[in-house]
Amino acid sequence: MKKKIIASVLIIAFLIAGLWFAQRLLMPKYMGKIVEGAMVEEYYKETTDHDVIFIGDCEVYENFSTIKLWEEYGITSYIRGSSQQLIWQSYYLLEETLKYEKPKVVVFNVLSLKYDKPQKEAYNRMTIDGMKWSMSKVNDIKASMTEDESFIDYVFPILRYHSRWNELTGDDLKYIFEKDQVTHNGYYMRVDVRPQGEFPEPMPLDDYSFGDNAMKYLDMMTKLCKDNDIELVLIKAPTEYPYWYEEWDKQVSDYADENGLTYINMIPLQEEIGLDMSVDTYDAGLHLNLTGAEKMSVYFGRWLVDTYGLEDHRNDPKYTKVYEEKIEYYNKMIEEQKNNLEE
Amino acid sequence: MKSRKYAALLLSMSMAASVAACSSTDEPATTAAAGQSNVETQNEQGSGETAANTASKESNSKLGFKTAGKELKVNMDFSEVSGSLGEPVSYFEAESCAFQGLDKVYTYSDFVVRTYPDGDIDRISSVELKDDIVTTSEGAYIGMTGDEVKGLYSSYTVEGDADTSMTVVDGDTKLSFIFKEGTVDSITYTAAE
Repeated sequence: MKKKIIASVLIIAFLIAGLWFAQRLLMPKYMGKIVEGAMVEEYYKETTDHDVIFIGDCEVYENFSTIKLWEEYGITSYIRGSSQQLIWQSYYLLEETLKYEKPKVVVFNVLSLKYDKPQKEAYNRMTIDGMKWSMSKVNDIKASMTEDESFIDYVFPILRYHSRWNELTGDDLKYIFEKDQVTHNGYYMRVDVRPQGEFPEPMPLDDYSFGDNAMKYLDMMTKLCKDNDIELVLIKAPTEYPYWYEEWDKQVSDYADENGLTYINMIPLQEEIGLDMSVDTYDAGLHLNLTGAEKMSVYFGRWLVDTYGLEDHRNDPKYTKVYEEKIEYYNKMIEEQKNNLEE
Repeated sequence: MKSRKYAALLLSMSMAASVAACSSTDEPATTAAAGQSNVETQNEQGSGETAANTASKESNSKLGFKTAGKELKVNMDFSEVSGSLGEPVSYFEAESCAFQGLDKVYTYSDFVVRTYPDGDIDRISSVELKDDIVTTSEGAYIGMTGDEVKGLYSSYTVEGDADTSMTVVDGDTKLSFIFKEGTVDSITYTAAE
């Protein structure tokens, strides 16, 4: 009898392990052309805390160099960014982050306020799949699902990805347990240059008001930061497309005034920041490249230090060794990308 | 003998698990085929859509903009009509984040068409009328008064007023008239919420 029980337990354990392995194998690894889906989970590898946490979409993870912030000012920072990160996703990522650490400043990019409802499963997956399980993840899934998605598919991703079995490549096996590092404290580096061109005229809207759902999460984010004595800074990245309407700008500005927050629209500050969009962008003006992100970091880092008196940690033994390695990897990636461009 | 029994049991449970997995994925697999997002497929392999599935995404609205003998509707496959419109005056494309396709803007002399990627298909996200040479299918044009617009769309529910904007919603399409100093300044077709 005892043997039967042991055997049954072993069989069940073997089956569970098999399904778990199959799930790991079948889930997208985001190690090829699209690395954006691998960003969220990288945060859990951090060994030190951060004074500044950025949250938001590509307008943060491509526009600020966290390593430059360290090199120039000794600011420790991390970008919890992901592609088309919607504001409820930013909220829940921040809520989760606060379980690991308590930053002095949180910086949120406001472009996502234009979305009031879930958009696309592919982007949801890139933000949510990488999160560790917690109530923040559960609530994030609930807030993010499109009509065609189901919660159970997030709990057991194999149900969603099983059809990938005939698309598996060597990378799926290679990265089944461990992935390459794709960011630098959340910063996604690009060294190539593609000058900004002309953008089409913005389409007039019949209603410029942000949606109630989006504003609800901005309220929640504001409260979360206030409850934790964290300075929340709202920013609009300096890139001009997608179009940032004046009416939107005024709403955010009014909201910041009403709630005692700082809001910085960086679009009119391009010159002051020193951006030259003929060389500081890699995709014709939508996002900044390395030189642009470093200029942004020099400018914004100075503002952070002057405004919040952030401590310079460059001589703090708790961080120096860690950041030496980060700088080494940063410089290595710069060199590799430049070499690839020359080939 | 016993080990054979366990092997058989293991095999049957594995098969049951596979069947369960496959049957429970019917819905998302269909979704993926409809181009919504077979995440990995969409990201790196194209959508693998079928004509039958994409047809369900076509507009269900009576509202559309007629030009060059074609009717442009929100959510329709732009390639079905683009050939009849001639060359645009200008063309702009922006790569969406994480290579989820290209958002495209085709500017013609009197109107602008914007598209969004849906797998391999570019669907119309909006049509914007730019001057009074062109009209909506019901005859509305830039420069009209609010009362004139209401008269043309009396069989629809018209919301808003001539101080700011009027909207007409039918099916998946919202037709917006944006006013400036009492007359229509801009007309756009977009997706209804």
